[in-house]
Amino acid sequence: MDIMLSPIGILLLLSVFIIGGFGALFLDRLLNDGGRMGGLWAHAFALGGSLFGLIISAKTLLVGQGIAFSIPSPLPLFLFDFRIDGLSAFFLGVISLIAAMASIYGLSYQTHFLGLYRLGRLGFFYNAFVCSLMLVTMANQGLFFLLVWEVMSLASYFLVIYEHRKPENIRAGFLYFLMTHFGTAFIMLSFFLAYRATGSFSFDVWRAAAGAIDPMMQTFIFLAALIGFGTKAGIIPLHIWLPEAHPAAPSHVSALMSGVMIKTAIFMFIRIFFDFFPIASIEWGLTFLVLGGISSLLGVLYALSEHDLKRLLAYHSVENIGIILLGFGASLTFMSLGYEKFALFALAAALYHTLNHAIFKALLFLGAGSVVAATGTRNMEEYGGLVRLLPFTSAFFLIGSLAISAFPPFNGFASEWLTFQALFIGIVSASIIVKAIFIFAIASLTFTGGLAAACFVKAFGVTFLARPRSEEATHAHESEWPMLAAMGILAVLTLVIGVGSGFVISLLVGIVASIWLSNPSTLAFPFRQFIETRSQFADILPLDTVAVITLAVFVVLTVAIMVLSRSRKVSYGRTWDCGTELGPRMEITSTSFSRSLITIFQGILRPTKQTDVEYHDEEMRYFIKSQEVRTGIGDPYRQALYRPLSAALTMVASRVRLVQSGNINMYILYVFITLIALIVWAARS
Amino acid sequence: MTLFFSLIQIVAIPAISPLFVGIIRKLKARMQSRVGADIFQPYRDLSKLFKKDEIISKDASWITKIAPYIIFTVTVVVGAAVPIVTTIIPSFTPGFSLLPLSDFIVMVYLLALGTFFLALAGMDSGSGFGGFGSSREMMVAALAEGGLFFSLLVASVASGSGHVPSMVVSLQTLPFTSFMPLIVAFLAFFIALLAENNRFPVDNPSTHLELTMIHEAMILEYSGKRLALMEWATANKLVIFIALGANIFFPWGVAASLEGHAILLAFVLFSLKTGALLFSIAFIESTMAKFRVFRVPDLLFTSFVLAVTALCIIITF
Amino acid sequence: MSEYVLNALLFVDMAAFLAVLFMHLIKKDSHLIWLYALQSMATGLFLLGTGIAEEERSLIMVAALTIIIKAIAAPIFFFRLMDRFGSHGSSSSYLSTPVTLAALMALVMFAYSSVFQILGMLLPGTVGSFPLSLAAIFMAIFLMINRRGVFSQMIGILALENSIVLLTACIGIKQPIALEVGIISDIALWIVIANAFISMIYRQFGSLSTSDLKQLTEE
Repeated sequence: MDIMLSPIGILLLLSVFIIGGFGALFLDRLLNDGGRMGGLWAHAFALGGSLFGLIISAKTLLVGQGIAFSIPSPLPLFLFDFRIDGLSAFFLGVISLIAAMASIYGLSYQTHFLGLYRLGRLGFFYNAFVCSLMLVTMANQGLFFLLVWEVMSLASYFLVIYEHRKPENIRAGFLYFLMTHFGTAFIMLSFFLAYRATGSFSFDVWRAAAGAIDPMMQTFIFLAALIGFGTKAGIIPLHIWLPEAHPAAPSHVSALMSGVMIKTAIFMFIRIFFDFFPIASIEWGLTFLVLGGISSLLGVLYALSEHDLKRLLAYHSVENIGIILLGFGASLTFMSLGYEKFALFALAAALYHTLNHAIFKALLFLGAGSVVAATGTRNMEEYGGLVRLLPFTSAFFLIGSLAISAFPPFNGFASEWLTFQALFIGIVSASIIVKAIFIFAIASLTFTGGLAAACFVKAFGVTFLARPRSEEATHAHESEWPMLAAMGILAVLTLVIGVGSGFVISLLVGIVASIWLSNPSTLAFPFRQFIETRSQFADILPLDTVAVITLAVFVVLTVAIMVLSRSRKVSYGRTWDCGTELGPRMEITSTSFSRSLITIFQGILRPTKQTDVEYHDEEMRYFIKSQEVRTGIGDPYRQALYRPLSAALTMVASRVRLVQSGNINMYILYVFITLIALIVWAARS
Repeated sequence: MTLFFSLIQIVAIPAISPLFVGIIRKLKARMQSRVGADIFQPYRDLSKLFKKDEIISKDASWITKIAPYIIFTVTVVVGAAVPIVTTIIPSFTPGFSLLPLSDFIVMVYLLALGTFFLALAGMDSGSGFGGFGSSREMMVAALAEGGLFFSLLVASVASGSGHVPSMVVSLQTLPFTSFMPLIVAFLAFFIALLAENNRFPVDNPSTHLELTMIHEAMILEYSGKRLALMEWATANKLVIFIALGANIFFPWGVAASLEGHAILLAFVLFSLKTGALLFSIAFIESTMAKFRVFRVPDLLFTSFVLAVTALCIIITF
Repeated sequence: MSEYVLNALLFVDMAAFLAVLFMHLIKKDSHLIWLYALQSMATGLFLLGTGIAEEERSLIMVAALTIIIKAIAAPIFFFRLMDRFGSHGSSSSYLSTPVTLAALMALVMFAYSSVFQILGMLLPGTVGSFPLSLAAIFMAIFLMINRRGVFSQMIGILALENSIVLLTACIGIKQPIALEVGIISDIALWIVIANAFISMIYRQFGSLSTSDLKQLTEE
């Protein structure tokens, strides 16, 4: 067994990030270049660590052997248990891949903050974030997991408020902080209930004690886990932090947060519902299906109404988490009905979409980062014509848009297709209720696909095409080569993973099977066997054939037409302008593009419109001097759910505040009463 | 033999699509008491356009230049997998067949890829017409996809397969009594056909008024060979939908082999079915007014509900 | 131990108890300090007696230390503190005197109640003054609750500590010498710190009454 797959290897991996992070701070202090060396150091080390993580993940899968070890700790309940099995290796691989790309991007992106903020701190928190993300997949004990989870939340919080001179970032960070701790509280509750039921925090003990837990207790554990991890995943209605926090962070961090951080919640869902406490009852699978369907539909509808490029992408993350949960819910349902093969298949679909979304969402966020850095604003209404000024970024963003709208032969189509197949199996199942919920799931996935395509026509079209709509857009310039390289690699991956879908599906089925087939003591799992059967899987979805045929026809056609019309002239003229001069205000804007769809769905979205008019003569209100129109989308979650909750909490808190009078004598009285009460109680029992 | 047949299958739809458009125009003209142009006129129009020079907007980018090729390619590729007279799947070498293209989800999403690039091209020139055309087109496409997808899903569930040729083969042997849900699904499919192909009552294919055009707005800035490709691609898409509707929901007569008499019979039946469909499209265009834009979603949701109803009937019985 | 010694110890314990009781009744701070000195002396004598009776050298040394620091040095220090800040003996209380006495009576009855009887009977070697010392503990805490004035709090804690020492001596638990010495050194240190602390409070708030110290909470 080589050095990489041993405890030494893992600790080496951690130390790379530690050196990267602290080195960045140190260099920032030492040199006086605003932290540029420190930032480069940090991102280079993060890149190295990510590549290392990728190698570890690949080796684990190829060898088919996981590792588990623990580091002794001085504290009684707290054990540093590590475990990397098939599922961890997969998520570790996804995290490492995206982190590597984000690090390459960050090498030159961070210079945009030079002079404004200290880059050493960015490097430090970035390394802490990536390291904690990797550790989350490796932790094998409840308290250790909570510790690493908390580090992840804190590191990302500091990254969200990195540009701390903008008050909206501080607000976003505060909301994120609140919501993530709300979620963590429920996760803690879930773990403590499991401790109560099994007597230990170790995940291995939970695995072993699977069938012996009281069903009522298991329901509560599941419910607390659903709320806790659901907050991190961004399921509606626990998603309100997502569209605030993801745009506020620096773009490569947004890519990480959107691409992999919310997937750690999916990882833990799989662990809790499949690995630790198997055979959840069918209601849980159906609940996930419904939640997934609602999240995907509402996510894409809210994305349609956005004109801030990064908020739009953040809402699409909500949508895609919904799609992943559709596959997950289908798998749970099949498992509880006893159709294990189908459950395997559905879970593989969910994992496939996890991988794909990580790749194309990271690509889109990195592209958005380039655009925002080039123009200085996030408002789409001020973009336009960037396809000529940022040619490579626009090409990569187009590929990302094609992938997320699920067009063949890109990877988004492959995973949505697989999810569809899993859901189709559900329609022919037993009871009417189950069939109805599966039909709802298929309907939501169908509409989501169409609406997502509409949204990305808007996003790409308004941002890159036609004429610039503002001064800043005319002065934009292309990004530096590291940023382009990161985006380019991701774009190529979307195509490769889509075209090679047969192979990828066989890998994923192997990984999913390893959850049940791995030997608990040696952690070996039969991954190789699944790869060898890939030829059977290749017939499932041979997107390579589709790609080849399309490309062949395209090439033939283009050549033929070019040859046939080689004597025809192509000249350039003005767009048809009905005789006037076309200005930037005559193009379609992002708000008006989606207005028709918002009007159709106004029952859900509740659009608002406020008009302020100023007249030349207030008495004779005929001639308008200026008019200001404000359009918006209603926010039912804050009004109906969060505001009443926080109002109730504040009311209770102000009542309880009376206890804290400030008087020393009162406090000693409290102590005395408690003492007497305890004595009496102890004497009684 | 099969190689020859496969090549024919690829060029079949592009070859006959202008004819179908010509037939619709002739039928409309007749219903409107006009003589109307010859049914082969669209071929002459296309060749005229190919001989003309082009003007491209200065504000446009490479998207405008490349979009017509992509859209036309998509229609050719999907068309190759649609069964017209036989259900045999074209293949070039053993092992390399067009089978994956005939999966109905792949077909729907490939056509949507064409729509995506069309919408982008509409926005590329920076004119208000194109922008609004794209906005409306994406709205219609997003909502119509539900009805389209679910109607094909009904056929898939009824036949037990996801590939269109196998669907046709299985549905041929279905007893007549269980055909009722398929008729309902066909209604949903027909509405989606009208929406996706820019026909009445969703869109007017022969207008250039900004209040009444969706598809025409997006190709307003095109000229010369690119305009020819766009128009041809639209015709291809119409034929694809008509062929799917005729052969999936009324699958009798489609040949299962390449024998002479089977092909002939299939050809005759195919002409009858598509003739009926073309007549209905022309009839609707001549007798009905185009809907207001915000009445269109109601129509599309109706299509969706019809398809879901058909699905529920199929899976409960 | 002989009857004589036990009686003497009981007497001394009673003296300590009465000292704490009277702390509630007096008005002037200077009287408080005298009473504290009395209680410390009684504690020291108790320890001395126990040490002589059981012939434990260490206990005698501790007793001596107690008398020197708690009964002699501390009151001197407190008087000096009082002179500097002139707390003019108006250490008022929250409850009026009759109510205070009633509360004290309730506490004493509680200490003598069945809740503690069992406890008292279980522990071996208990001298009969166990409930008395327990009552003294409760009364010392009550002193802190009832009285305004920083001096009362200080004396209250010290009186509490004395009562605890008495209690443990009654029960017969042989406190490790280190603990006893530690506590005494702690008191010595506390005296040094309190000096600085009291002056800071006075400078900040202008008075030593705890009701004026309410600005500790933010309104």
